[in-house]
Amino acid sequence: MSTVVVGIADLQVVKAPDIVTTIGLGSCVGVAIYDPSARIGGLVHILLPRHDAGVVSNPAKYADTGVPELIRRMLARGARRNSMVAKIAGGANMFSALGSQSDIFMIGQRNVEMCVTALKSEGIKLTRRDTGGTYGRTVELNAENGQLKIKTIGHGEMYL
Amino acid sequence: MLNSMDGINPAQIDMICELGNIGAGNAATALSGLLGEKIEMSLPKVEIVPLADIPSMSGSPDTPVVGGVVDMSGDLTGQIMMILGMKEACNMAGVVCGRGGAAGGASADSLTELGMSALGEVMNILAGSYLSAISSLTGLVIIPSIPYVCADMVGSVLSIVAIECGEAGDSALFFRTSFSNVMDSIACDFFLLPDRVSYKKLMDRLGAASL
Repeated sequence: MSTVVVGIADLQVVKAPDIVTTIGLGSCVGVAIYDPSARIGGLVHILLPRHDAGVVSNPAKYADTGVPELIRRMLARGARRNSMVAKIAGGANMFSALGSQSDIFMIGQRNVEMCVTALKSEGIKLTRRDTGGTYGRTVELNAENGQLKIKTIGHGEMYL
Repeated sequence: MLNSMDGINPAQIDMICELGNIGAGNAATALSGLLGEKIEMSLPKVEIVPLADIPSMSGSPDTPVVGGVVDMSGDLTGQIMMILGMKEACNMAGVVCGRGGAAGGASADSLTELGMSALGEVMNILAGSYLSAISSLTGLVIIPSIPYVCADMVGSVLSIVAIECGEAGDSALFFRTSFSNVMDSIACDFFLLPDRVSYKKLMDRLGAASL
């Protein structure tokens, strides 16, 4: 078993028994897609909701391009679209404690909304989510069973 | 990397580095006054960091830290960030509150509300003194927001910077300085992050645009 790390604005696909992880999701969103029949899991670390104009140098950066790209890469590894399910985590507002109003501080929520929309338009069922809040998350998708482990500082650990 | 920052060249980096030096010097003096201790400052650097490397700029991305951020508006836009390790944050909060370690222990859970608020105030003073130096040197009007602070994984805290820069490109330009006291019990990383439009303005004001 090995663990593959997904960086910021990055995506990776693994097969059982491997694990794919991303560390320190703040306002970013981790979209984990899993095909239980092929036991293939993919994770993308989304930075921004949508790509506005020009050439996309890195599709994994945006929700509207990152989700389709992850699905494409999973299909290329042998996963099947109609058995894929998704779980998402992240989209926090890290600096909300003092009531920040600036647009940049609200990006987490917009990221989550766009990830949900992107999954919907790809026809992938969103089964579980742990989003929002004011704290960071580290997530690990286990390609053995599709479990998404979420680790935090001071807000416990959970499995989706 | 340089190409993705619209051709910013080493001579221009030297020029804006000097600006960072003056801002940071001012901030160090303010911090020293606030803490009543001698403060040492690293040589300010200008760094161009690829997006992917931002979460690990201040250590492993899952390290617990206290992060402070001030949003800048006016002629110069972008953010200022301060990152302190948990232990250093607790020490600093203790000194500011004048009660030794009473403002917090050495974990993310034990920094009190008062301690966090004190660190927000430190952030406020550092950012204010840094920016007023830059403002008087360049004649640019810079309006800092109130300080925002949180205690969490450094990767999550810095992701706000990655998001801000990610809108415009695949890398970020930082002015970076570290402050510490002689004992090294209080230390922080301090970043000024002008957005793309702003560093062009800075270069224009400094006459560095044609270098």
